[in-house]
Amino acid sequence: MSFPISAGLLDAVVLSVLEMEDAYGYRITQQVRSKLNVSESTLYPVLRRLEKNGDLTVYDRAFDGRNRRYYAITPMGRQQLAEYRRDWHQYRNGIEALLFAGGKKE
Amino acid sequence: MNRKEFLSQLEQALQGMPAEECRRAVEYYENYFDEAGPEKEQEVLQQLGAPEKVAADILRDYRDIAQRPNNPHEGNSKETSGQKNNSSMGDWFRSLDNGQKLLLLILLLVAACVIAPVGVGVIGGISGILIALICAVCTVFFLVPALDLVAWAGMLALLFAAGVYVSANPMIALLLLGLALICAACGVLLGQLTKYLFCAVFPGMIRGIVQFIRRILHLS
Repeated sequence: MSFPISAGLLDAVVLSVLEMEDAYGYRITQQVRSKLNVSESTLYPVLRRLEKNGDLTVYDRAFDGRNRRYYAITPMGRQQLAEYRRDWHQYRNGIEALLFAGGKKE
Repeated sequence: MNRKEFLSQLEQALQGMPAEECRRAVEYYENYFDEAGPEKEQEVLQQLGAPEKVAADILRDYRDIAQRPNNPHEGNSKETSGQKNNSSMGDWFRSLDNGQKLLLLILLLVAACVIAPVGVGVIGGISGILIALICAVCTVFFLVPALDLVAWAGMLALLFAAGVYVSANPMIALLLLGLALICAACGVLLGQLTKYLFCAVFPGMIRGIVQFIRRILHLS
């Protein structure tokens, strides 16, 4: 892809996925990969970083005789996500205004 | 390669990190293989690529976080950025070995020796100017009332002289009376100026100085 996905954007994407419901690493990865071409190893550092920042918490649930580690968004994470969304609108509007400035004139 | 090999190589490659960090990462990928199921194991292995590369990504991110301790949302507040500067300065000093520390100390001493005379001169000059300014202000505050007194005294003296001359030479007496009136006018003017200096300028200056000192204290 011409446009690499920045760390901030990955943070925002993961927070959005977890906004609706808690999920485990594999599921989050599948959901992101269904829309974006990121590698399977991309998300662990993102999740760990968000956890350390206090945007996510983790908890374990027994499933099928083993452990499943769930990630859940915190109030701080929601606040951060709202900020990311504001930033994104501003960024998208700016880029689109520049990229499609020629087309709109015609 | 199978899952077991991948995980053990990953663990090997993550040895530079604290044990807890390493364990968390390995657990994550164990979980990941569990969720994908045995039938997808090869697919996942292929997607993940070399465990060393996976480890390198984790290590790079870990180092980025470690460089800004206790500061999750960087740039959100001004105070934290100041703290960050302090700690990075401290980290930098701690990272020096003893030889470098000694060299730094010598450099600082040499710099102090060079800067000290210049500093003394500059500070002396500035305090000299300040003292001169204070003296000038004091002079103005003393001079104006003193001149006022002189003017009134002059008027009295001229009136007395006019009284002495009034029978002998009325013209000179008239001249002296005129001069006395001029002195009285000067006295009134200087009196007004004195009142202005002590009632308006002096309290204003005191207020200005107090505010200036308060601002300095607030800044530090």
